[in-house]
Amino acid sequence: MTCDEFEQDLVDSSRCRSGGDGWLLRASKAAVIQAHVENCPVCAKKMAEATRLQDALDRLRASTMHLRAPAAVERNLLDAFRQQAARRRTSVGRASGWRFVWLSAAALVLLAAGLRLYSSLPTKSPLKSENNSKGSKLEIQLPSSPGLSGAAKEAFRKDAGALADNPVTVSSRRVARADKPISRRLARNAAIPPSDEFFLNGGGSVVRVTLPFSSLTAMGLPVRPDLSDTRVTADVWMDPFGAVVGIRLVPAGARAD
Amino acid sequence: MDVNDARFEDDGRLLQLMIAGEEHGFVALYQKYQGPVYRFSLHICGIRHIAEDVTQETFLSLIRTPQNYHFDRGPLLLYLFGIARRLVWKTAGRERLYEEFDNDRELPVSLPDFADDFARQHEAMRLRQAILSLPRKYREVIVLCSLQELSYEEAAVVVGSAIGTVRSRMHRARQLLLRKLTEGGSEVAAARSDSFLRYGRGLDYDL
Repeated sequence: MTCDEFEQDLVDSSRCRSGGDGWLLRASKAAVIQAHVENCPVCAKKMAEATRLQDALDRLRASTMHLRAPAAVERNLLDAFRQQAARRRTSVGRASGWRFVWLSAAALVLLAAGLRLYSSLPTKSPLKSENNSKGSKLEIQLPSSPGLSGAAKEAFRKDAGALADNPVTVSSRRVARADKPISRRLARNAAIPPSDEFFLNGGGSVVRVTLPFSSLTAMGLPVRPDLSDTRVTADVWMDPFGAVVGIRLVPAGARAD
Repeated sequence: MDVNDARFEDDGRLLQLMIAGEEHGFVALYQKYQGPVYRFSLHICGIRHIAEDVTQETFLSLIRTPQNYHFDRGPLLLYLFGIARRLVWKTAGRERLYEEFDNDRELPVSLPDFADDFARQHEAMRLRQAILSLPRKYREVIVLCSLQELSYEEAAVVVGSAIGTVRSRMHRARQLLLRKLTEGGSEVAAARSDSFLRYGRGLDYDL
């Protein structure tokens, strides 16, 4: 071992740890180093100085191992920790509140969007095609209406019996007045029962007319654009005030009454 | 001190508890590391109240921004040493502009049994003074490696330098310490005072 190698070994292996891998304790190097320092007074002096310094540092480390931060520091830190924890809880609660608000708003928006989408979808055509032995017939099917008076139902049954054989032959028919007229709004929404007949409630009349398909759009019925100019025959149910309450399309070959 | 020891394995669990607001998680971490952090600060600056402030600020930083610590960058103790290192230089540099250093007041008040004789107390005091007279870059590696028992690799993480840099600084620090110790106590004190004044004026030096 040369002095340079000894110096390098001193640099490389003079680990700070006092035990284990400290350079003076490394068994693999100890013999070589010892042999060198016995013949080199300069390196022997360096080794002695390094040993002395390491011992002094070890003693200093041991002499300060008992040192701790004062208790006041821990108290201050605990106060700070509690305040921080309280702030975090508050912020979390506030965040939860805002989260609830945002979720509610999002749910409302989604609901509104869903309703709008649903309303924009093509409605199911109220026109129902039916084939029977007497030819095809188009009939307006409206939802059933509750609250019809007994007299109105009786009038319907009477009318239905008369029209059962040929529901498309009614050209104009005065219908019996009900003993208790229902409101105009109810009449507009009143159902034509799922039979072959109109149900005329609170008076009115059925008039057979010929009109273009495009006129049906004003009544809320879907019409294909290419058929808008085609004329069609229909039985129109008009209330006593002249407003259209219902309509039934009549096939072209149907016989008039 | 081996920071990869099993004692440090549950730091992550304690930190999670602390983040969750569990006080005992923080207390456990503080009890575990306040000693090393305080001693490191005291060895670096030599002023007790600065060491206390630095210890407090270091753990306050952990309380306020625990997410800044990443396990993959090393053990928690090294992270705390890194914070304390920045704080101690910042604080010491500020305070040295206004305050005269008082060695007797700032040295540890008691020494363990092996140093109970006057000669060893005197030696310990001289060594402390010699360490405090070292330039910053040498002082921190000698404190980290020799007094905190970190390896070169761990010290390199704390000071943010390469291992080779730490090794060479350590070697130079030892040479400087030996020279100061052999020159005598009065010279060490003079050198220390000189370095103190130059540092206070913001003129870092290199021997």
